[in-house]
Amino acid sequence: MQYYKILYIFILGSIFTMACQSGKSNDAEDTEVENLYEEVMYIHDDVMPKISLIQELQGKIKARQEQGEPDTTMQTAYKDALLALNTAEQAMWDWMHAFSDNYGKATTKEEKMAFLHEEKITITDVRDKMLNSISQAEELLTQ
Amino acid sequence: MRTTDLLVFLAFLTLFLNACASDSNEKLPILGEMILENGDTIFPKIPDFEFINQDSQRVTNETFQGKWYIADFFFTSCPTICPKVKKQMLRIYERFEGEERLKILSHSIDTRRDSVPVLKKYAEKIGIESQRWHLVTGPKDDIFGIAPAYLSIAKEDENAPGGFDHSGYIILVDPDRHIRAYCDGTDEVKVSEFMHTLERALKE
Repeated sequence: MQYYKILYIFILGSIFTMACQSGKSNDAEDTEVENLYEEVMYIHDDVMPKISLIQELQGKIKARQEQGEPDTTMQTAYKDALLALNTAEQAMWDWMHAFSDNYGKATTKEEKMAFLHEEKITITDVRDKMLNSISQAEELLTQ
Repeated sequence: MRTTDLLVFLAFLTLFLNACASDSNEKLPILGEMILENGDTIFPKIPDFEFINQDSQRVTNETFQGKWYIADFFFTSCPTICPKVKKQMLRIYERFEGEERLKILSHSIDTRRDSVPVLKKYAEKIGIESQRWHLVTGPKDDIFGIAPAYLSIAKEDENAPGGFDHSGYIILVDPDRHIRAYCDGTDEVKVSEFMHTLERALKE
């Protein structure tokens, strides 16, 4: 009888310990996902405010287009700069819409991590497009 | 001697209480860069606007005639700043339930995706009524065009990030279309202080 009591306690103890360990590993997994999420959002938050600057530059470039002579090298440059700004702005909006639509679909840790890794690559590309288009437009406007 | 001390104490206490009372009764300043016009000091006003809200109703300056309102700029798929601001604005919405003189006007800067049905769904999700809290959309140029009228005041704040139309600032406008206060809508403590400011404003 004493033997069965000891065995019973041992089994309960093992189950309890395994449950705790499982809980701990869940916390670690959540932290890993959370950290990667924060990395993605950091890139987004850093560059999203520049949407208003892109808007402003689009307006200035359009004004220059209207003021300048048609069929010139400058007009081609204005057109390219505007396209770059528009493309960059659209890329940011498209990224945010897709992220909002798809983030909740990942359920397992592996799915979430894979999704976030992809999104980090994409948002980094969006960031670069935005910064490059801004730089291109600002340089053009100094001419 | 004891009576004299008591009288002196009461006199100072009265002065002190009056000073505090006069502080809370003081009107909020009008914010923005003033200009002199024909000898008069003119403060910037929110210009005329016309947008559509989540119930497909036209929303203009007339909608807020005789009212104070809080304005901000957001979009429904915003992953970070906007949810924080909306959470804080819901505190304001709930705190001032029944206060007919205070309304809320949130402009969506995602004019491509935040259509009226999308705004309606979002309003239902956060549990707000359109008569108290208007979520509006309109032509992109109109939305981005009016943003500086509200948010340039925050641009003067050295702590405001660049790209002020996505900064999370919330702005208080009076019945004369003047800006009277603003705060960082992502900051719970600052919003609590802002609510005290709203109470002061509604006493004017």
